[in-house]
Amino acid sequence: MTIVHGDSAIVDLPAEPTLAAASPLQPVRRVGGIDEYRSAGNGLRVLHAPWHAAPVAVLMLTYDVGSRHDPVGRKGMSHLLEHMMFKGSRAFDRRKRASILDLLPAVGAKVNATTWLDRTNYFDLVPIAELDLAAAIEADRMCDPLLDADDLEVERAIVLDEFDLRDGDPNERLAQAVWSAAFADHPYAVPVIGVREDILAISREDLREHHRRYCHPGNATLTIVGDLDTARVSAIVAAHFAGIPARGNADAHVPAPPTHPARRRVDVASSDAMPMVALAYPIPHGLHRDTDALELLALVLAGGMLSRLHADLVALGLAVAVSARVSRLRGPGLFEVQAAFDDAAAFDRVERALLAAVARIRAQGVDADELARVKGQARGQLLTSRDGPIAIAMQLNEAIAAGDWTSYATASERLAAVSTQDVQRVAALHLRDDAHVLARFVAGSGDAA
Amino acid sequence: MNAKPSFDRAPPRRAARDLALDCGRFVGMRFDESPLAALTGSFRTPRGDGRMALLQQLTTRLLGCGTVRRDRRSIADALERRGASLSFEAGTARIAFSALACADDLPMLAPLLAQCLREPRFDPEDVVRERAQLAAELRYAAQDPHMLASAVLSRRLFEAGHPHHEPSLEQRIDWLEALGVDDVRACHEALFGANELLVVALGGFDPSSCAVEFEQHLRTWRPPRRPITGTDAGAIPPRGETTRIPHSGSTSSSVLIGTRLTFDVADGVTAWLANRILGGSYASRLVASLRERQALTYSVRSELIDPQSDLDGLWRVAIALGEDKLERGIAATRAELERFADGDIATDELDRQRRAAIGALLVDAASLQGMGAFLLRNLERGAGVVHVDAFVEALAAVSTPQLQRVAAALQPARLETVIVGPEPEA
Repeated sequence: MTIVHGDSAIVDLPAEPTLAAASPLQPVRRVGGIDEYRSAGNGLRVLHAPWHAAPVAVLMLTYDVGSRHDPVGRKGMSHLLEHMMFKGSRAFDRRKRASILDLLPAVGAKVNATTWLDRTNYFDLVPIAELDLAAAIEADRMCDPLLDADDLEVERAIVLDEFDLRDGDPNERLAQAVWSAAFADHPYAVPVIGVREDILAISREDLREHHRRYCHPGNATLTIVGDLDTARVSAIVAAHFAGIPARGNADAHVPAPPTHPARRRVDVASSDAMPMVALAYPIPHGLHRDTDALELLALVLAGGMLSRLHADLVALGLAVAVSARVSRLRGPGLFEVQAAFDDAAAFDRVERALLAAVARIRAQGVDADELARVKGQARGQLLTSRDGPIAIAMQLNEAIAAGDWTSYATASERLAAVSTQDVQRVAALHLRDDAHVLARFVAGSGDAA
Repeated sequence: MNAKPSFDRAPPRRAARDLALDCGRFVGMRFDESPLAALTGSFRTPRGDGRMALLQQLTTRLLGCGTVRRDRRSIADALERRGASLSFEAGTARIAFSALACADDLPMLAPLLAQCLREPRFDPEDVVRERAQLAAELRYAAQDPHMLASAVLSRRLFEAGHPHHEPSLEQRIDWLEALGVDDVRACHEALFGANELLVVALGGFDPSSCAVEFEQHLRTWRPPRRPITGTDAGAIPPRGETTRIPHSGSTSSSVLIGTRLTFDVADGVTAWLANRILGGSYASRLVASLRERQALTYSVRSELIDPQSDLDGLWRVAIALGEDKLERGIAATRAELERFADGDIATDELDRQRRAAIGALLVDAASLQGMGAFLLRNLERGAGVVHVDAFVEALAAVSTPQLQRVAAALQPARLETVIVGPEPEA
């Protein structure tokens, strides 16, 4: 089967019906050429996206655990656990030179993991012949990671190095200041990497409990994108995952909505950063129907040379670069607009221009041709951003994390359905002048808010 | 005796259209399963000093800003409406281009690319704007500790005038501000043309038709009138010294340890494999030792700029180190470099690394853009490889003595070290 991810006719059918009777997989549905199954014994969700252009595959496990699940006093635990998961598991012991990092890079695989606010994903892009090995390793570390005490000290030091690297990056500090101000009383306010004192305090027992609670089949999605058929997917699940005992269902807890500040200005100290202004508005969760119109609104504002902020700022030499983006999360997100410029005296002017561009859309909306252009842009970017199995897997990962993987497959159709009225409505409803965060750099070396 | 590596399952050997066109060489492959079109390519330009590099950089940025037939806005509209991208980049010896779009949009993309290459408009207002943007980017990059270390290392290894010598920020800004539209036009006329032009086209379309399209639009594009020559500027003999640059905003140090690499010690495939073994992959020695065993750093890698027959390359290790690990980290890196340069490369390690390299090749080429980059890199090296399995053959031919010869070129005692980070405590 050849599929075109994201722009095919969306059909909502039962998944592949040709499974052998002994298969552990129960078909759930097929959307956009991607099949969803459940592993009968333990609730593991399995997604199969066939992709046959090269003899490779991505195997990815997405766990519904991210920094928002980190306990108070242990901020950074999900990220530290992600690091520790590369230190070996019972059958793939680092001390026997048989860990994931001993075995998979040695066959050329790309092996990595990322932690974000709502989820952690572990992924292996492997030559197809090594897919079973990748599955065996992922299954083993789902069940029994070593989480060795000595390894913890080594990895804690590496994570603290990573912490310092990020802390030394003024752009990271600006972005974090925006999120901290916008989500003051919500877990999204805390950096994914955590808090230094908390990272130092995390124990092996803490990690074991965090792993036990969140890294189990009922809280995970196994995604396989690549050059294999349903029978092979079924065989991989049967051999490596179906026998893992159930440990409950997915963690359904979503924190209470944040109390967004009315208006907040944040100054971030930096002696050498390129001048930058960041403007952020609170928006609903990633699956909310308004999010698609907000995506297109971001393109109208800063989607290229024909965008409004490019015309208002870059073309006039007031800014070097502008950007706008929408975060699609399980909980509420932000609509962020940024402008970088060269003249440190231009802060106020740039700030006014950003606010004015948003106000103009609230008041006057967008015209039909402008919307048609950004819809074409969104459709094209959607397709071109899915070049290869790793790109497909990463986009599926974010859709899973937001709460519905089918949003990956329906994106093109949903964006096509947005009207000019929708864009003006969401601008008026969500990009409010009385509820935003404005952040910028100021000279100095300490933070000021 | 090297065992011949093999695929457990070979990638499909796609029918490649490898054509010598009037304007250059065209390699196309059809991917029926893909809805995309990925174009990439490059042509050769003369190397020069820092001013020449800057002029080529500015001229290249302006290629997409309007042609004699279409203004900047019209080009942006054609691309943005389709979610397509088209970009140009100036390198040390070649100007590269790349485009990505839906396959249905190829009929728009190929002629637009040809127009941008051949008939740029060079509107004076665009020149002023792009010059200001480039200056801002240079200033911004100069604040980044790694970029700063890179510039300082380039000046430690290469004399002023050498293409790899990066002049000071102030010097480059002065040069840039003096460049005008006449300079840009003259640069394009004298240096840009179908000189060793390479085009790689991959995706869900017929590559033969695509080749015809390119031939139609580029057939009369000729090589520039200025001959391609090397540069007389040379390399500075490395002295094994350490340069420390304080950087007020940093909480950790960016460290570069490097040397130049001459063409006579290595062909492209051998140097590529040697770099992978040293620090160019997660399965490398530096990652295993510094990160996994000693926990000295979050980030360590080795980087290689290929040497050419008429231009030395550069081999360097980049490490981010916290202040409490700075001395230990540098010492541990040097110890690994010494072990590597001593030629301590066992046959089983070579076999393991070769297997890893083959797998990495497969996974890197598992996208149109990845495959395009692989093919273009090989064509630029003159390897003529248009299939992954042919590259594997070349990899199989790399011997331990060849690798040892490359490794010995590191000369650890003469490696230059640059540290950019917080002021050391008194």
